[in-house]
Amino acid sequence: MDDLNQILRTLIAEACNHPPKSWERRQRLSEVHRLVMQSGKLWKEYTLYYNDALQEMWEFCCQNPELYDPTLKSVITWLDDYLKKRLRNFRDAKYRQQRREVTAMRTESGETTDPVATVPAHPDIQPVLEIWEKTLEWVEADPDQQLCSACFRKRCQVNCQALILRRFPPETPWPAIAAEFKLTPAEAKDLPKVYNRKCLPLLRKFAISQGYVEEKNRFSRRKSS
Amino acid sequence: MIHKAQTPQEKSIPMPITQEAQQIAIGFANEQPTQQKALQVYLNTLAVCTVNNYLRIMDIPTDLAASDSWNPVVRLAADVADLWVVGMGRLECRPVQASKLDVEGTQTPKNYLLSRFLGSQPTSNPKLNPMKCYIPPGIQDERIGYIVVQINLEQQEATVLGFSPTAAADELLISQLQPINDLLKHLESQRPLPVIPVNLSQWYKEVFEGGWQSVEALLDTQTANDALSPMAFRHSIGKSIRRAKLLNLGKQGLGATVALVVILTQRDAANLAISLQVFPQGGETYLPIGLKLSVLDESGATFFETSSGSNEHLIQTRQFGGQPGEKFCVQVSLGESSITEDFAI
Repeated sequence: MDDLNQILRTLIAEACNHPPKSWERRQRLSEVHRLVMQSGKLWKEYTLYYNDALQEMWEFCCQNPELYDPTLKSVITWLDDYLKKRLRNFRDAKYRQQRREVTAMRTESGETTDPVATVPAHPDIQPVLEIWEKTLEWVEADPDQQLCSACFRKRCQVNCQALILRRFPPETPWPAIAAEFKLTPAEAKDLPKVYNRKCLPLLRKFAISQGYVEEKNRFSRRKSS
Repeated sequence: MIHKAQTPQEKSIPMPITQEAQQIAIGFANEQPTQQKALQVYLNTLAVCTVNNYLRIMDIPTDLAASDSWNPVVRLAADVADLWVVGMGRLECRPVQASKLDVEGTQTPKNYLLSRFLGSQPTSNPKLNPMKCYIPPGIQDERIGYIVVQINLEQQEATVLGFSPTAAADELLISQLQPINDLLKHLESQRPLPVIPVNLSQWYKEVFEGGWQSVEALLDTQTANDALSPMAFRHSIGKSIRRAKLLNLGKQGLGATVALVVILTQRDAANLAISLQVFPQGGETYLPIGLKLSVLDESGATFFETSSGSNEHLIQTRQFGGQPGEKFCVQVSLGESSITEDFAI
């Protein structure tokens, strides 16, 4: 433990000597993360949100190694303190949520109901096939002839429509598709690459046109609440 | 300590699967029409989320929305597990399974949710062999690197096994993976080198940076004459200098090539007047629609911006003044593709 603590202290001190976002700093913080996670010495509790709290603790501590004061505590204790703080936040949020649900039941019906009945049921695990059905319909109809006119080399029957329909689940293996269209070994080797380059962009565009994804690349760094 | 040879055990990083990742993976898997595809999407999504969580800890920005693994249509038509690293490209996050699932296990909520995927699991699928990691064919040219993530569904734990900058074949040997630490340095090497600004005062001493050619070398005579618009002469006392540089927007020949022209006019000993123009290149008569030209000051604030409409031969800035030591930067962008040139006066 003492050895580990000494190594971790040195790594954090070294990380702080390099500017934020430099690979030298990241490499040392990554070492801290790896050694601590492998040691199994962090505070552990069996709650559903434990892993989310752990993730948030690591994001915070690796972005703020300067907050560590070696004269006050060991590195593991420092990390544990933040982890427990995050766990408290998750626990409080959960209680608040439960209280809200109970209150809501009282207001609506005018009498108290068993709070257990308000706990959400298991999420619906029935497949949601709307996107699949719409996409399949679009590929089969190919209203703008965009898919069937995007051909593999000069072989018009090997077009994006034919390829996408074969690669949809249950996915036909590439060698089977190559055999079906009697492709030469060189062509067969190229087929998946051409599929990625020619057909996937058309599918990306369709997803945007249907509002399944946003058009603009956005900087996505969601924080769990 | 960091550089010593590491065993596979030493170089791997345990990454617990968050509830957030779990919920996303189940949601994505539920959109699939077959059980086998659902399992593929479920594992791919967990692998992408695991790498994303690792990069978040390392403060490396990613863009899930720009990744194919986040596109519900592409997910149906391809075995995708990519993660877009901002400013760099797609990182492949391939899952391998730690062990077969215990289908008869206790009915915990997790197992209950997963039970949909279990029935279809092949007993001897080479993709699930933990000695090797399957890489789907055809993606090799479009990835900046590969990370292998072992997923243990019973323990709800993922382990980042390692990294490879390339994948020559359709599989990677787990034993040959580099430690994940190497990824950090690799990403650094993918980043463009810091740019030394073009020094405009030196142009008057006939010192031109690489890529900046005489206007006549790039543009035909008529266009070159147009380039010297009357406004360049306004208030001018000294001679004018014009230089042009080719800019390629977009990747793999899909974008546009344009010429950025800088026109310098000396107003007096300490003041330079600058104007910028953009012309079509590559045999095009008109600029692509929506091509944007912006000038930003040292703080990054935009102080001039214009963009092309249809049938435009050029776009240009108004003339602006500058003193020695001042800096500005010029951005030419088309859609998501953008090129920045830094200048110092």
